[in-house]
Amino acid sequence: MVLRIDPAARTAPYEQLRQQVIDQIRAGTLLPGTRLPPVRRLAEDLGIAPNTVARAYRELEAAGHVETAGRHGTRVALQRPDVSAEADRLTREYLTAMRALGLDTTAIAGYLRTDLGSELD
Amino acid sequence: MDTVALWIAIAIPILLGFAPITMGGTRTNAKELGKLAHRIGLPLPAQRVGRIVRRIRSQENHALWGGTAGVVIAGLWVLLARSGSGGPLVLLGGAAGASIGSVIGLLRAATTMPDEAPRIARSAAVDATDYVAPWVFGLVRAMIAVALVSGTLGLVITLAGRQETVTLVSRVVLPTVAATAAYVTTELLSRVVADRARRADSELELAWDDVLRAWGLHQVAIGSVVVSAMPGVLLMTLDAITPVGGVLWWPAFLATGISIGLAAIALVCIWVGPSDRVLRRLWPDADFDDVVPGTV
Repeated sequence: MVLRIDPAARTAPYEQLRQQVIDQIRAGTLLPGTRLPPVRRLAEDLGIAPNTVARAYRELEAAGHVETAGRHGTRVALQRPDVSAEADRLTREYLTAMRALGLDTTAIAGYLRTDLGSELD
Repeated sequence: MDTVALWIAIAIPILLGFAPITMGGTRTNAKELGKLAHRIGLPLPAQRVGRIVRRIRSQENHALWGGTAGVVIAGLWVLLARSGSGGPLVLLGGAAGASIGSVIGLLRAATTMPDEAPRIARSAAVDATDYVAPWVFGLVRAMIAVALVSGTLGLVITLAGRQETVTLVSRVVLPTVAATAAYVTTELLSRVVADRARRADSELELAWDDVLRAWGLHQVAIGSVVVSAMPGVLLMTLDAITPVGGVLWWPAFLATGISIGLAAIALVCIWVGPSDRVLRRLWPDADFDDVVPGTV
């Protein structure tokens, strides 16, 4: 039940944090209602900026994985998050990354059709 | 004066017992370190020894300083009270100071890490009850309540019996102040211990830190109970407690009885030692057995 930050990894620290929390929630390691460490404390433990932890927590909250209740801190959401919000976010990330490669909408759709072809049929 | 000197001489080896691994110096007693690892139930692989010993060294050095301060304060107290039988208070002061110093040392231990080293942290928040069982805190709170009642009774008894001011100060006021200070310290340290950040690069190092924190806090809490028993126990030493007819004033007798009872429970706790509760609570699924123990 630990979070691990690798400063040498290509993935941004906030993303490492966000993903690990989601993985632990999905695996049932972090149960609904479990309190996450305070932002400042976790930042000090991991040797990263408080803003980095705060950003990870904000994104987790926006996706419905955690709930923040002011002084009572951040807790794992009691109900599973709305999948559509997370799907929207991932789709936007995917499109942004593909456009950064210089691909237009038609080309992106082509890649999707290729990969999803058999499933679409 | 001679009696105090004798008790101080007895206190020195007891204080050194709080620093079995480093004896307050820079060397490490490998045999004692191995015993500690065995008692804690965690492996101590060679590549982690340095970082873990740094924490233990800080803890032991501060324990010795805290213990020395406790002996000096208690010694002055006994001299002030002009009590020939106050020597055990010197031991109590030393033990309480060493317990508090031990936790402060652990919190102050420098655990620097290279910038590129991976860092790990627990993904769930912890609080003081993860380190020390709630019933121990219950014991601490019950004892301070009894201590305050005892202090008030002592005040009434000494004023009614027109005892010397020095008796009032040394056997009523100071013990009650000491009990309050011990209680406040326990509450404060329990919050600080739970909130204080720590740098670690492995789960094993975090687990060691957890166990050391739990043991230190357990000592402070139990020490607080013993210190808080003093106002109640000292009630029976007040001459004025035997009013006309030689009948003990029953509320004072009751307070003394409860104080001795709770202190006895605390002493049994010291003898038994903290359980592996902290590992069961914070590391329920961890398997440290696959970590190869190294030579220490």
